[in-house]
Amino acid sequence: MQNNLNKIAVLGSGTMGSQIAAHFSNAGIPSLLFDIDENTVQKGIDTLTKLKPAPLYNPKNIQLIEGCTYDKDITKLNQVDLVIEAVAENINIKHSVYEMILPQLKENVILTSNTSGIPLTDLTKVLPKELRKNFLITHFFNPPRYMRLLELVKGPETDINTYEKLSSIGEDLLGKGIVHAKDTPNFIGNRIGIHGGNNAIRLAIQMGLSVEEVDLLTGTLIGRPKSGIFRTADIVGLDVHAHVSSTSYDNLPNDESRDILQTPDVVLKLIDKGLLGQKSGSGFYKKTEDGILSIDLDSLKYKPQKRVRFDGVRRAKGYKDIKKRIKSLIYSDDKAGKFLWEITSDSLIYCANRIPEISDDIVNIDNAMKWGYGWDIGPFEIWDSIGIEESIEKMEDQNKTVPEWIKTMVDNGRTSFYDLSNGEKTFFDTKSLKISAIKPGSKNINLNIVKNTKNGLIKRDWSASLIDLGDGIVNVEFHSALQPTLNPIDTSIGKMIEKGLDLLESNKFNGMIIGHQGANFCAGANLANMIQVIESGNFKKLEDAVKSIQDLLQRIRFSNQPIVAAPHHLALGGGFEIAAPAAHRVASSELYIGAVEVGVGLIPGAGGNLRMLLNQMENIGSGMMNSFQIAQKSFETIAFAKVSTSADKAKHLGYLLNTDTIHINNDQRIWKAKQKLIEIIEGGYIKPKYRDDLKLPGAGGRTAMAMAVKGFKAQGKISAHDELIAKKLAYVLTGGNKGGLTKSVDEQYLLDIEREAFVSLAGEKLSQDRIRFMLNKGKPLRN
Amino acid sequence: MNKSHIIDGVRSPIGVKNGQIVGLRPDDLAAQVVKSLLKRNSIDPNLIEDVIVGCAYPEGPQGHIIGKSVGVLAGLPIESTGKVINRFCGSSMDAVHQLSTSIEAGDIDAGIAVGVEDMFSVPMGGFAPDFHPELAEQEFYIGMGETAENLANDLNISRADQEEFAISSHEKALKAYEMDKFSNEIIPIVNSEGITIEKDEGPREPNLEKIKSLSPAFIENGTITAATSSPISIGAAAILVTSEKFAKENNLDSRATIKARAVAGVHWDRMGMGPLPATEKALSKSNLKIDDIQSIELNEAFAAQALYVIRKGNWDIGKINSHGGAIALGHPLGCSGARIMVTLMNVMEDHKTNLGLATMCIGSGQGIATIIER
Repeated sequence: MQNNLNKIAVLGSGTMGSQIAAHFSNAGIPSLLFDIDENTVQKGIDTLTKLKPAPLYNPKNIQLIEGCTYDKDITKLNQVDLVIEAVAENINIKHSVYEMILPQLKENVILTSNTSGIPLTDLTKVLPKELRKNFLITHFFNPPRYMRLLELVKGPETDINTYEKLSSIGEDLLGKGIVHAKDTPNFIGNRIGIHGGNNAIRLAIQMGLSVEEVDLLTGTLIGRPKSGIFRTADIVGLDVHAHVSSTSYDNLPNDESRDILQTPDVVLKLIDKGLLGQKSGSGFYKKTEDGILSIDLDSLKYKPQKRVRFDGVRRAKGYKDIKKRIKSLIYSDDKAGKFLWEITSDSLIYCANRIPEISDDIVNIDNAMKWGYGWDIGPFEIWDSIGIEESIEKMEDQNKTVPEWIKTMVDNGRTSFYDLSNGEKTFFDTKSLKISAIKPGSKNINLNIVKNTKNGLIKRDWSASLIDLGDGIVNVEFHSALQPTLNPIDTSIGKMIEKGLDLLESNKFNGMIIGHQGANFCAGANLANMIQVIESGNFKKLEDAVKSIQDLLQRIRFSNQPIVAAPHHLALGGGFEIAAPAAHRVASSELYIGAVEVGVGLIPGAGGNLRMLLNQMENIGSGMMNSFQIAQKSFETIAFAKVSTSADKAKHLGYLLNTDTIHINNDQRIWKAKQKLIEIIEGGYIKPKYRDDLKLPGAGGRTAMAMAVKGFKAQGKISAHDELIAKKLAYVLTGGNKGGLTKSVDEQYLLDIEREAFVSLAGEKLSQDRIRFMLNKGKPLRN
Repeated sequence: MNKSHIIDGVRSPIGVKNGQIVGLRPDDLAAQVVKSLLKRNSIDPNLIEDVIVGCAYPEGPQGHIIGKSVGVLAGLPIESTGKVINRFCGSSMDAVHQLSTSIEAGDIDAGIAVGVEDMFSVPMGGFAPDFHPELAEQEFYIGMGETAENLANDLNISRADQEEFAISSHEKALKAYEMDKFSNEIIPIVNSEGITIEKDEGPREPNLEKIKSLSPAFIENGTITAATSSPISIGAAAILVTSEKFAKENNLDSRATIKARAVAGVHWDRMGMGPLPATEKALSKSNLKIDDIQSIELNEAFAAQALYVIRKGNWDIGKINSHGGAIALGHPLGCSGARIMVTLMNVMEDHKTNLGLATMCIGSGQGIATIIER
């Protein structure tokens, strides 16, 4: 469907309104941002460049947002195709805003509300019939750039075409994951979320668990965001938490768990004391000079946090796979296990009872929790992983009422909500009580599903697989056995890339994609392996390993058939080096890419220096920067280990080429990479020429850089070891002994001096300390 | 020997980071200043024989012989000539020296000495520094801030003293504005968006708390901060120098004559002391003592550097930079020499003094000085 949006308007320049406008600007759509007076709207706009994490891909996107006031600019509303209302959550205010703007709107305009609690049918009471057809609720989650969830709610009169148009705008233009919700209080995400949150608080008090204990149990341990239940409440604001609770409680008199929906007493007491969480400085936690204190849920006094220890947690940590870990946790018979069993089983039953009330199927509920609450797996996926029959038995032993439809499902022989077989993902449809296929969007390629089709999987190794995507395209997928979220480069990944290149060379395929759908593209080298080799003192082995990866990546560059890399999220160190030599990149808008080797006392060793120089040369087009400036910009980027905050920023830094493709919808990335690859193949791909004509500044330019580095050292901004690393980096980037105004450098020479510098730095004790520190603490050591 | 006269001098307002002048081409900026100078003296451009432009980094938009291109942009005839002088910060004072010398030698009768620098479009250091490793060994490329730290260290010039000096520079400049002391000195310029700018962008009400909170800018535990250094700037200045014969024929009044010119070398690691030996030479050539000088413009590259010269030379601080100095007004490298000479003439006219000194330090280890009389 065409998203022919020329301009939109957002009403209300508060947290949500301004950030929704910001995300439209990320998609290149200009907006009018309205509020009651100029100061208010300006404040909303100004916040956009200050907020962390940044709502804008690039600060300059702010130019697309025009601040407007109802008094002065209301007639400008006739320019827009879509109006998103994000004013205060008050029906009277919303109605008066609608009445004010109505006369200005052009024909066929779509009007949506970002309400999170007011029923759609109440909102539309003041609208004429024509507009009621074009009205729906678009519920964005905060922060809109980063939260994938967009809940859409249509009313009885909403035109299905309008609804589908919005759905396509959300998906294709804004990169959101659409959840089809119903006109019920708090829709899906917050309905399930607030029930789970309040239940956890209630149970924590009942079982005598501390704030920090609960947060440890409800964070990354069970595949949810780092901030657990209490910390999340602090971040969201306890007043907001209470507001969402009462929206559910007040409007759902017949909810079977209504008592749980009520705002917990402890939350009300804290609000009374003015403790609203992060925004007021303290809530369940309080940041002090002596560290972060947590509140005692009984006495409401702050106290130092205690170290949390549970046997079940220790055991569960042995499982890298989140499904196995959750299962191990909730069936463990310590206090932690009991708590997690209670909150999980209650929540699963609550979700199951919400069909068809809030959603027609389990899929939308799972998606809402994954996309809006950052859960790794949704409630029904959790249920599958803990075993349906086993869990039902335990629930019924405890007199918990399991919904009939689930028992029917099990009786019919279906023992999981989802199934993946023969290239089709299926789910149990509660309406028809039948198995139903999940139809992927036309722009989605799901590698997991493709792998399960006949002949889809070409070869599987422990950290990577080769997948046949059809149309002559082979895909190298990373799925690190040891670190599945970070995908550090290991021999398995190298082997599969090599095998993929072999397939291209033997003309079995016409093109290759390097990309996958895990959490992060690749966080670089496997430091644990590297430090082992270093500690063994076998530097010849290290050099050979570096040489072979350099050679492999040069093979990517000079492959006769085109290769497209599809990096997303983290692409650090080696992640950049794998993506860079490909013929083209289709990057996710959310790309955090950087050559960060300096942080572990090294410089890029797998061609990163050569790639950075080539990228800078290509990005500047003709002229403007001379060889010194190219080397200098490359130097600054790598020496300061700059990491992009978006794919757009990655182009500015030189990690991507200006000609690379940026795609906003991460689910469509592999599809887009395939489209692009086919386009390149059909255009007649010619591999790049080996460069033996690189102009680099040589010793004179290097000396100038060294003076600047010395200045940083004098200012105390860098250490002596940083200076050593910087000098070696400058040596490589200025073309070593072959650089100079009258000379040319070739690719292999640069790779050779890069490798030499890399290995020599690896031999430095201080660099080794940095590597070990990173492995142990997960952050860089300044030494 | 012929006599040379400084007929007039004007300058642009000086722009700083995020200001309104940034973005205007330096050649256009200089041409605007030259045009204004000619216009307000009703000089027929056809009579200008040579334009000498001082510029510290004559490359990019300041490259391709900006001495000639400024003349073309300012509407001078093709017969008039132009050249570029580079003596780093002393460039445009040197331009005045060379112009007056060639007039006194009888080579030409009328010319314009210009100073210009746009430190935003051409970075300090230039686009393609290519340093000699041997000179690097000798610390020849030492950062300017570090040289000033060396001087602060030599005389124990405290951070507090430097801050007091810098604050005074701003206060004097603001006072001068309040009392309308710059109206004869600064000519309005039109920026790249067509907006007219009439005032320097640097001077501001000192924010003590902010000044005290700044970290040292150049060395760890150093005494110099951004507040006690001159800011990165853009600006242009132009001075009309003619022979006495030319002045008479064209009915021009002389604002000043040059009594002495001098340059002197010092070690590059203490380049900021350059004004001392340069002034010494100039005084000795004109048989004067420092106490005979009534008004002084001493370029403020850094407060520490200026204070070093004042204390070491035992100069009377009351005579120096009455309308504020480069810390407040800005220091567009190649422009500053001509700028302080223009300022000096205005200060002397305001204070009704007869003998004035303009002097400055120069990176790489030099000083330059000019004594003028009115």
